[in-house]
Amino acid sequence: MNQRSLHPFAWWAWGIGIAVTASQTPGTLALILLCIGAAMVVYSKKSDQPWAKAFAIGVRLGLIAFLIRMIIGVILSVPIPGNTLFTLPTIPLPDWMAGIRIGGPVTSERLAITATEGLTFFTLILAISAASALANPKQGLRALPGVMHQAGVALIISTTLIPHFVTSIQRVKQARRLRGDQQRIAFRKIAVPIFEDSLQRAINLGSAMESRGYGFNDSSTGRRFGSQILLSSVVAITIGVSLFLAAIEGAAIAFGFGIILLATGLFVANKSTKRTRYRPQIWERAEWVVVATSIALISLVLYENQSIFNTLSIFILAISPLFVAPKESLKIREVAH
Amino acid sequence: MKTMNKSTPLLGFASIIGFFAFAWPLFISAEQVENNGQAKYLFLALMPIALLILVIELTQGDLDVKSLAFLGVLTATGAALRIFGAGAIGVEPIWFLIILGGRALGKRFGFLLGLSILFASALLTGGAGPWLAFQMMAAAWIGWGAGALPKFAKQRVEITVLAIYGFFAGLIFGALMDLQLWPWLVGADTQISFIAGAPILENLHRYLIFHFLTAMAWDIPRAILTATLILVAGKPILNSLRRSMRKANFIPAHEMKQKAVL
Amino acid sequence: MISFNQVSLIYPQAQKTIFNELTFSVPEGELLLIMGQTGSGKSSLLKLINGLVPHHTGGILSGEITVAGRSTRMHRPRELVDLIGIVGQSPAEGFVTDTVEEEIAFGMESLGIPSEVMRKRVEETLDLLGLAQLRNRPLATLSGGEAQRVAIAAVLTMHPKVLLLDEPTSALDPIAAEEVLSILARLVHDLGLTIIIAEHRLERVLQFVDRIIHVLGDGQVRIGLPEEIMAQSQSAPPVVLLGKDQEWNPLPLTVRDARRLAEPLREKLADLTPPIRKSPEIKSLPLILEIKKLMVQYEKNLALKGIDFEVSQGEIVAIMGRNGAGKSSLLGSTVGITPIKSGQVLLNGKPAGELKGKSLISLVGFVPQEATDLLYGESVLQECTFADRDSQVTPGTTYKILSQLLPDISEIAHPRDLSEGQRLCLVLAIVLAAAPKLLILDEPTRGLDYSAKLRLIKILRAMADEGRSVILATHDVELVAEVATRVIFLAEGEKIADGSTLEILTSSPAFAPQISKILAPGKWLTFSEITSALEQS
Repeated sequence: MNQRSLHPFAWWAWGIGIAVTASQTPGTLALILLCIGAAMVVYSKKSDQPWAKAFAIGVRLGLIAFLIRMIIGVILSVPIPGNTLFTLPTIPLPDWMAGIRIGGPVTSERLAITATEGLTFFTLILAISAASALANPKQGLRALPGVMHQAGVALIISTTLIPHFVTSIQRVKQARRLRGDQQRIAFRKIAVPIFEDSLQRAINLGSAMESRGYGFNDSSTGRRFGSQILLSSVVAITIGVSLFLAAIEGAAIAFGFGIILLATGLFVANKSTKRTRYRPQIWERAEWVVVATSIALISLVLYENQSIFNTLSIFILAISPLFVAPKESLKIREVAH
Repeated sequence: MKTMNKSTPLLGFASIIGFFAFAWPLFISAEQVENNGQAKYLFLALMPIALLILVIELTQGDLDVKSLAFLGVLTATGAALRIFGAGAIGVEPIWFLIILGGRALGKRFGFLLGLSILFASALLTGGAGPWLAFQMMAAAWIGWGAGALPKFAKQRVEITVLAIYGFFAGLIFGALMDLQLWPWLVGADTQISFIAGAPILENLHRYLIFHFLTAMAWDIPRAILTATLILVAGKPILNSLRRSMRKANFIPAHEMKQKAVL
Repeated sequence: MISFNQVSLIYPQAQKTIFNELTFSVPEGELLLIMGQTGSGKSSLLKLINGLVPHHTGGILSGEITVAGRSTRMHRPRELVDLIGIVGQSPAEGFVTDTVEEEIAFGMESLGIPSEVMRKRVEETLDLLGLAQLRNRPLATLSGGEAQRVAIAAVLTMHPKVLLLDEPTSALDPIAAEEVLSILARLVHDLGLTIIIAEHRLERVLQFVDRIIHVLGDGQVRIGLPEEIMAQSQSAPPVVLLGKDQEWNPLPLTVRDARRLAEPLREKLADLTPPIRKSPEIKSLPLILEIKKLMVQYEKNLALKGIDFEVSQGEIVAIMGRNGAGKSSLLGSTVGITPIKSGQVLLNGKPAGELKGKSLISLVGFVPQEATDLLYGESVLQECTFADRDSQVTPGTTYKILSQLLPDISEIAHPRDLSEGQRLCLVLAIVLAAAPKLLILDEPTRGLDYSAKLRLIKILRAMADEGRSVILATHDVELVAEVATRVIFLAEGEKIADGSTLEILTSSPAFAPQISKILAPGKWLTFSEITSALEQS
């Protein structure tokens, strides 16, 4: 317990900060620096827990998305005038794809635009997967506000049980051998015992939770009020979406209204839960620093100033967790028995 | 004698937001064309907000202890099947689970199950990306739909219908995910990009070409797999779900408001 | 503390009256045992007390149950947590969080107990149950006994007056069971808690209890002092059986009591020799299983460090040892489900890992610890049909074997709705359908009551008489004393003893059966040996 990891919400604030920064087209160099920064933070701060793999997976998926974007951009693009680099042969397509032409001249302007857009999406993917690689989901679920508690508990139950079911799938596979079964694909013979096992477990768990006082303090009045506010919030957002799509003035107002209602609804619903929390996750200076740099990052990029000074500042703000975040220690080691 | 559940309107509106978050390129008007860049990000942000509201509403109001336990345990089973699935059973048998779970435990439970399975497995196995909220919403609809299908007198009919439903659910999920990626993967200026303000059908045509060129080849095996799994193991699993609900005296509070009076 | 007034319980789906007009009360500070056959309603009785029945499980209840004056009719279980704590049959399945400390605090969070109070209560409880060292451990890594203690701690933090436990020691090895029971005894004596446990391993708990509720299975219960109840009960541990047979008065419940009274019997038996255990002439019979220098490794742990032994036809070999000694790894390797690092496992001369399908199951039948893993049918009959197909025998074979084991089983019953004992018989029938030469059982008596155990003993003896062999891994000393011809002792992956049952069991105080403890230094193991020896003399 000597070392702790950064609060998962701080990691998410950091990741979202990078994602928002990337979405504001800060320039190619800044995007590349953001990716490098995210990678630096992930590799110096990640744990050896399974979710730490998220970043590597994110890089792979991001690269695939980038490549698809480039390929489509090159062979299916609408020509824009400029410096022709090379010309691809054009291929005719069947009737139902009429009007689309594969190939044609490829200009350097085209390549540049496509690459920047692809890179933006790549950075976005990277930012989210970096946050999910660093934030401990179990601690995150535990830190959810009271209003999300039920959802959090369902997910805590499932995250705890996943390893159990993975071993139980292995066991059931072995059991097939014991029945002399040589069929190669036998979904039913695996699925039925697994489901029976898990349903029995659900029954036992339900009664254990009931008899341990779960749901003791649920009152419904505040909740019902909160739920009406939430309904008006979705209505406002739906109106906002319609206005936005139809390009009618007022979408922003509707969205703003929706968000305010959402916040109020959350607040009201949250007040109606009377649960307490045992040893809540710590939120200290390091967390504040990370959130503050994240906000600074976003406000910096909103200036739309692509000077080299600005770009460097983006990079430095993006890697701020390197300086403040403690490295996740391995306090809960699996203890073999 | 079904009464409308109080969370129905919210579910409806949030789903409308979700639908537009997927399909906005088909509907956006030409005047918003300069805002294209923003639209992508706007809807990327709206989807998690819609999900947040949904989750709060569905878990705060109606979820009793048993539903919660079933939800947690089935989510774990689904995520375990997903982790394990790749090697042994085939590609992601989670659709099978979401559809049967929604079928046996009702549409609202199916909705939640879709959300939680995708969320839990993405968080724990990596693969969480900007698309996660979209995957969750699509999976939730699939679970809801399985619960909303009418009752069938014969179980054989039920299984067949579910298999067909599973087939189309597999295709539609792929199509929705690709629709969501469309503006990101092709930008605004290729021959298969959407044209803001163009008739819906024209944009749909362009989208289908994009879908055909990119991901459709992956959707068909998934659709076939889901349908096959339902045909092979649907009956025993559905029966065991229903049997354990009886055993636990479990009527999801979502589905029926009157309590068994003892 | 607890009072039942004219309580009746009916489960409508089963159309079965579980209890009929029960009236009794339990005073504060008592340790009560609920005993009865599987399926007689032990668990239902426990769950009635905290209201899980009928609030959570359904069922029709009449009459009135009050705990400290509060009626369970008016209060849901969650509203009684400050009065009653209940620990279910498999405590690990009720865990919600993932570390010990969080699990212990979980209930208090729902009650909205202030943070500082929670902190203090968690510390107290950790100390009380000796869990302080485990506080950060993931729950998934706990052993059975530890999980049981954590589950008890998790309800104690809410400061209940009554603690209910369903089969707290059934799944534990003798040493872990001892730990749990001594904690319970301490809670009764130091904190004045009222504790009620349902348990069928009577030999373990009898010495701790003040009174017994015997659930008779016909809707009635009998309540009384342990001696009274035991005097009338069919199922009883060996010490009680011996006491009743010898008409000892007062009826002994513990080895200590019995030893004092057994002086005359010991003298009488001194001249008699125990009946010779049918231990076949091993050398002359063909070997069915040969294990040579077997090593098994999981990641960095050596689970088996070079094991050698053979099993020949007609032997019943018991494998004993603490949890984690390597028993399951050893058994698994004989059917090729445990990967072998080095060494050889030969079934009838052929390497076990290379056998498959019919050629494997006609040599060896394996009943794993989680026997239900083998079941995937929707009814008993369907399960039997699948088994006929898998073992390629004439249709109906499996069902015929099953009806010999369980004459009154319903063929349309769902396999998962069967009792623990019935399910074991079903799995046995499936495995025996292929007529294996060797039968392997991993912990077969978990959850079996006395009558089911007697049935199992009969089956195993019959197999050995036909010249087939049996290997069983178990903690159940009395079962080993009854059936085994040979005992192998494992410790930390090594074979530390291998010899005849008599020799091994009588030489180890911890693993000696009750009869042998009573009659030591005489070489007696079971009650039936004594009766038959006395009859013949």
